[in-house]
Amino acid sequence: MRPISKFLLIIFLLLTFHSTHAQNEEEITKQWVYDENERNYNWVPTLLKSNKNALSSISQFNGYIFNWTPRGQSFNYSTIIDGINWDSNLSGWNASFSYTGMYKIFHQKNGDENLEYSSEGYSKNTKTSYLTSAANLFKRGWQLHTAFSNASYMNEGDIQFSKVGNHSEWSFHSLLVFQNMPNGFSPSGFKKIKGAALSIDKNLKKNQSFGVTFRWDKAYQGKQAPSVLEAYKLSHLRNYNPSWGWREGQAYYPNSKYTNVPVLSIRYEKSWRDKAIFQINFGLAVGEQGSSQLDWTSTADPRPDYYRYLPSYSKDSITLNQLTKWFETNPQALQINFDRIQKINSASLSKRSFYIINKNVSNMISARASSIYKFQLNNYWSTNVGVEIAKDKIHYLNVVDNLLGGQFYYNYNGWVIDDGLVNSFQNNIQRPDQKIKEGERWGPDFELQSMQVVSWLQIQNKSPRWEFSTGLNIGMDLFQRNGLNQNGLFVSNSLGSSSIFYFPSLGYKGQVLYKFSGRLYARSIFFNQQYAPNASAVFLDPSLHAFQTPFLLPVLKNGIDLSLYFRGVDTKIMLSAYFQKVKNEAEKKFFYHDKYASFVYGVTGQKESIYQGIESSLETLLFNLFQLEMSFNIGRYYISNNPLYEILLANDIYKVESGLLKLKNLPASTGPEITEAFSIQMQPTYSTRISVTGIYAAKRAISFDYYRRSALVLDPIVIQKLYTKLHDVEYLPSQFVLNASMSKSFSLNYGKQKLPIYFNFGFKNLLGTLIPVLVFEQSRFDYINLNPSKYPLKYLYDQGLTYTLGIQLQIQ
Amino acid sequence: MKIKTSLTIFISSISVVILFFSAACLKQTAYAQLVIGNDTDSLISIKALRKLHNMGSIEPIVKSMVLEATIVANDEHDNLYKSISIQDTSGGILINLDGSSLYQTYTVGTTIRIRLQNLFLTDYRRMLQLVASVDTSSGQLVTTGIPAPLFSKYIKVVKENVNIVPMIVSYKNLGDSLQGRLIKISNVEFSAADTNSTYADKKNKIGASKSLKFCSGGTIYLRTSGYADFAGISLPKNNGDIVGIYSVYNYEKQLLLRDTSDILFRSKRCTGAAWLKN
Repeated sequence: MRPISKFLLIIFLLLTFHSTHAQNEEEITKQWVYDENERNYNWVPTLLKSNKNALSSISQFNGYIFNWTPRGQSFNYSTIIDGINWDSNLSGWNASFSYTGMYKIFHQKNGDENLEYSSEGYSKNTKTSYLTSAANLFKRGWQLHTAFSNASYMNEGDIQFSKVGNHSEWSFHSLLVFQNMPNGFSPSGFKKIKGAALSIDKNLKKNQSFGVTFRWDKAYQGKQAPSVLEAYKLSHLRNYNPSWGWREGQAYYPNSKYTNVPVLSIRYEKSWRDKAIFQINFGLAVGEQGSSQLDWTSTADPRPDYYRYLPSYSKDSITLNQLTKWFETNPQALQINFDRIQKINSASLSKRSFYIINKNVSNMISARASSIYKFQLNNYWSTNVGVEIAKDKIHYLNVVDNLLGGQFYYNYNGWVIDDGLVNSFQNNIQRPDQKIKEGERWGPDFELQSMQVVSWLQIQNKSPRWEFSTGLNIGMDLFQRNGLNQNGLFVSNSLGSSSIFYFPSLGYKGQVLYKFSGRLYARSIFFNQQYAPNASAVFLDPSLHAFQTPFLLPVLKNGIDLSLYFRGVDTKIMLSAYFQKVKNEAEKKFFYHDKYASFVYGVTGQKESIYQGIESSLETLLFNLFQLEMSFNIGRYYISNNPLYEILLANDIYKVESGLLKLKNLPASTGPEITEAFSIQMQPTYSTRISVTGIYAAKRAISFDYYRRSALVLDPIVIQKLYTKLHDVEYLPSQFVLNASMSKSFSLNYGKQKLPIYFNFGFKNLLGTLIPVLVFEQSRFDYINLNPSKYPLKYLYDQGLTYTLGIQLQIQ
Repeated sequence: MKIKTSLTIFISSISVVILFFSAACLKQTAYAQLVIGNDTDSLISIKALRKLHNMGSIEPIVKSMVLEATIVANDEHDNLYKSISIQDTSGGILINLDGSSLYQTYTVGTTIRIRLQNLFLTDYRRMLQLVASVDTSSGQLVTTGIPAPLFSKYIKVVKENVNIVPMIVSYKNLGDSLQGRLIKISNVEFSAADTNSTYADKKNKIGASKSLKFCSGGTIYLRTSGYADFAGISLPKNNGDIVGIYSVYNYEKQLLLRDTSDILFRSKRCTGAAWLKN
């Protein structure tokens, strides 16, 4: 190796170990996934790459802090990887988390589909992305990448190797990823990722190909928790995180999530002279995902921002002032005192732990199979037909991860009101008063199984002026619960297998496109879809019993989308109007109800929502120097009826309330209803690119609680001001965020080879705007005195101005 | 040559940036800073502290003083609520703490040091107590205990597992100076009318006072909260010794039980002239 190469390698390694990296993981994962077309290093993505949907591009990359999801619907995404949709109808499994940090293993097959006809499959969701890990799509050579930033102080590095074969040879693509953020350097605490992936593809005889991808990501990271505004003010930190604390002089972060799920996928394809293609894909994922957090029973609430501990709870000004001063001068008082907790646990006479670190574990096995047959009948007619089968089984259990100084934890259900019922609080009545040691299971122990079979057919007709397409899907979802322990509260309905629940799904969609000219065309999409519920909606509380949720009906969606496109040489314009109606939406919540002095289930059913609005976007070249992209979106997303609800006591599922929720005309989305965005990009030389992106968001509703808005609560209120205060939903102030970045690439001659180096420097939130990423009403409400400020809103804020430096070295 | 220049510029700029960011990396952010305070106040005995109080009035404590005493009762069995009882060699007193499960932190037999500055001395029906704030705006005295986040500011643990021997007291010696102290009285029993009842009304969470009669004459009332975990237990029928915290309700002499194990009734019920006078 020449000295220069050695030097570059040392620089790379140096950076790897001293570097940091930015941003919310999900956001950056998406950023990379969506930026895969170029395979070049672009820390801030190129917005002008003629994406099908410029709006989606801007919102995806830079709108996340406003929770800007196009058309207000955040629940409608799906990602298809190698023909397989890894999303599950069961909760406890996050498919995108299973490849966190490993975004470079994927190629995007095409732009984001928005219900239109796609040769990749049938999209029944508002937005579907098709990704592939096929090795023969990657460039030959090595790629070394590292980045650091003040956003999260994370070391990151990845090494990619690609070897692409000739026509009938093998192709390989491999990726090694590691990230390491030590404790205490970011609001969420820490992050550790080790991942590896390998894709092998082989072209066979007779236009056949075969491929295998194996990826394994082990990630363990801290989680931030939201808090009330008062705590933020006391802490003087925009990223105050109440979920961590001090333990033996060290910062300790019990709030975490992890994934350890190896995924294997196999693909086979055969084509017949571009007339027909047959693909079949198999996938298997086996492993564990979970989260951990501080848990407690029969003891004081350890959360430093618990409402009773904050100054606002004080009834007199002397205590209020004392507390305010104390918190401001003693920042550790706003964090959890784990030393005190350990002392309490170890000092108890029986060595019983009152506080533990609990781990919620999802042991899962997921199998997938999908097949698609594409057939081009002639120049006008084409069709594709497919079938997808998904089988998931998740075993949910709790494990005592840390006894925090004690020697055992009682296997009791902490929220049960046990008046008169001797064993009602036993999580396992067959082993009453069980003492749980570290690493042992406790609490609910159950399995959920789901199976989904969907088949679909799409037909498209293309003529010089007109394009028509239509699609139909039909499916069946099956769910079953299997309780593995018998709790004392629901003795007869907790242990054993439930009956199997079947839910059919059906949908159709159509598309008409008229070309006024080669550049101007109009398109309309219309659809009607019936969805099966997911497992968490089927069972009222599968952790305890197999009761079915009330109001369980299939969710129905129908809508229409009218768009006008102009595609000039330097200018692209899109205008679109959309309307979508969603019926039979359901929601349930488990919370403490002050009026009943008990934990309850709140269940909402038959909610209807309307999402409508107009979108526009413009892409153009100014003075042959600046590329400009602009978008404007105005919508209205609202609940269009007063849905039904019930309140059921958690102890015995006794219905204590039912009626109507006064939700009509309240917001149906937390996304902003008005957004304006622009991006200006300049490329003074081939290797230099500078870009500035700005987003303005207005009419952002907070996430609100339904049950305090019941007719039972609101109707007796005679004071209009109080009624309005309790009924209306708060909107966040309008805000503007500005990002900028600069990219520069160098090309070094190494012998006969050229070694490209990509260098990027980016700023996020240049103006340092204080932006709440998440704001929500707490489930707990003062149902006795109807005081809305007793349990105030909770917030999570964006990090503010952050910068990022990234370097990528490519050896071909 | 051009490439070399570009490379030099590139490497130099990276080196500068590395140095810049490495410094930033070494600094842990404001998320992690521990602040520890000092304690230099002067010591006062409970007896001296009690002397500062006039029954029915409120005395804010403005001087920097600390009290060192041992916990003799807490909320372990929910007979005390949001308070603990402490005593030193000179006397005892009740401290109101606005928190729950206090017994887990402030176990019986723990010696603590309490900073008194900014606290208040008050009494509830002549039972002296230390509180964090008082409010008379409603026309009634409303007191609040030390807020949970301020426990560590006001209270420091000095010693643990201190052996506490209850003071043996006869009926005639029961007086206000014993308030808050752990005492032991002997040769007592519940009145015959009460022996078929429970300590309190657990079902309706209503407290009760049950008369404890001295064989030698005299009555003290055993006060039990309706929230006490032993409230629903039947009163013992026998005679014997009992340990508890001495308290008063106006001029009524009361005893607060910590747990039923404080009752040692193993003797037969009383007979004799004194008993008949009861």
